[in-house]
This record gives sequence, structure tokens and C-alpha cells, in this order.
Amino acid sequence: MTARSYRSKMRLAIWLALAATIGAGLAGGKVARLAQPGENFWFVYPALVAVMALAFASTIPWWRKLDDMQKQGHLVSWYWGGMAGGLAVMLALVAANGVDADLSQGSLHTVLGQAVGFVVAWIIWSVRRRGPVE
Amino acid sequence: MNSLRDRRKARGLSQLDLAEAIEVSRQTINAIEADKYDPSMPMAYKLAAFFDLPVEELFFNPYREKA
Repeated sequence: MTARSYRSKMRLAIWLALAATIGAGLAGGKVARLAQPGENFWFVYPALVAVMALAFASTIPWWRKLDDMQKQGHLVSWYWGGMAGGLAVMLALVAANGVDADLSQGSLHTVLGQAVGFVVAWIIWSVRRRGPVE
Repeated sequence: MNSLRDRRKARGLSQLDLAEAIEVSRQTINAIEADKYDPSMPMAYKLAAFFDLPVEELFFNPYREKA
């Protein structure tokens, strides 16, 4: 049996992540259809979070195979590109619909969630890198 | 500054060959050789081990005084 090359292992990990993410999107879409205002929240929300967690988990093999430079590329692009893209859309929605519109409020809450997630992830990252202070 | 390109060519390897050998992307080898990316210490050690060299013979230390 020959050892798989790095490229073929990476390709396999990418396909797994893609397939799982698309599957999660389809499954999440079905579950999301069950949501009604004021109803089913405690079923739909945990189910969607579970689907999201599975989608994230499916990308772990891909992430672990990335080298330092590739990881840095993704982190930099997500931070600067992802944040700028999300904020630009939020500002356009606010400008077009007013601050109190549902679309604007939804967008503002998404960005708020991103900010909270950033802080939590940063704290975990920072604590995990702490060594003895001498 | 590093001697990665020269060392790789001396072994008759392509960037892809070297990338496969140490399990990184070809783009990463390309960026290191072009001085567009400084590798992490584990990656630098991995490359040095591959060429059987001390790290500073592969990646020059600009802070060490020249003899």
C-alpha cells in the first residue's frame, strides 16, 4: 500500500468538508422551515446549532492539514475580508431600510454575535497560550 | 533571507516535490523562497531536518553579529 500524498490527503479533507457543509446546509434548511414566530424555538434552535456543530466538526481534518501559511491566509482573509464584507452589507441594509427595519435589526444582531464570538474565541486563545509567569 | 531555493535545486527537487516531502503546500515553499513568508519554528526545523542542516544555515539570522 502506498502512502497518500499530501495533496491527495488535502483533497479528501476538502471534499469531506464541502460535502458535510452542503449536507448541513440542506438539513439546516429543512429544520429552519419548522420555525414559526414564537413557536418551536427550543426544538429548532438546538437542532440548528447541532447541525452547525457537525458542519464545523467536518472541517477539522481540513484545518489540521493546512500548513502555517495557509492557515494564516484563511485567518487574515476571514478577519479583514469577512468582517468588511459583512459590515458593508449591514450598512447597505441600514441605509436602504432604516435602523428599525427587521432586515437591519437582523443584520445588526448578526454582527453583534460575531463580535461576542470574536471576544470569546480570543479569550480562549489567550488563556490556552499562558505559561508560568516568572 | 534563506538558502532554501539553492538547497532544493541542489537536490534536484521541484517546489512540489519538497512541499510533498514535508507536507505543506507548493505555494508555501514558493512564498518562503521568495522571502514573502517567514515560516514558523516547527516548519523551519522540519525543513532544516529534511536538508540535514542547522536551521541558521537554511534561514539566516539577521540579528546575529557577523564574524
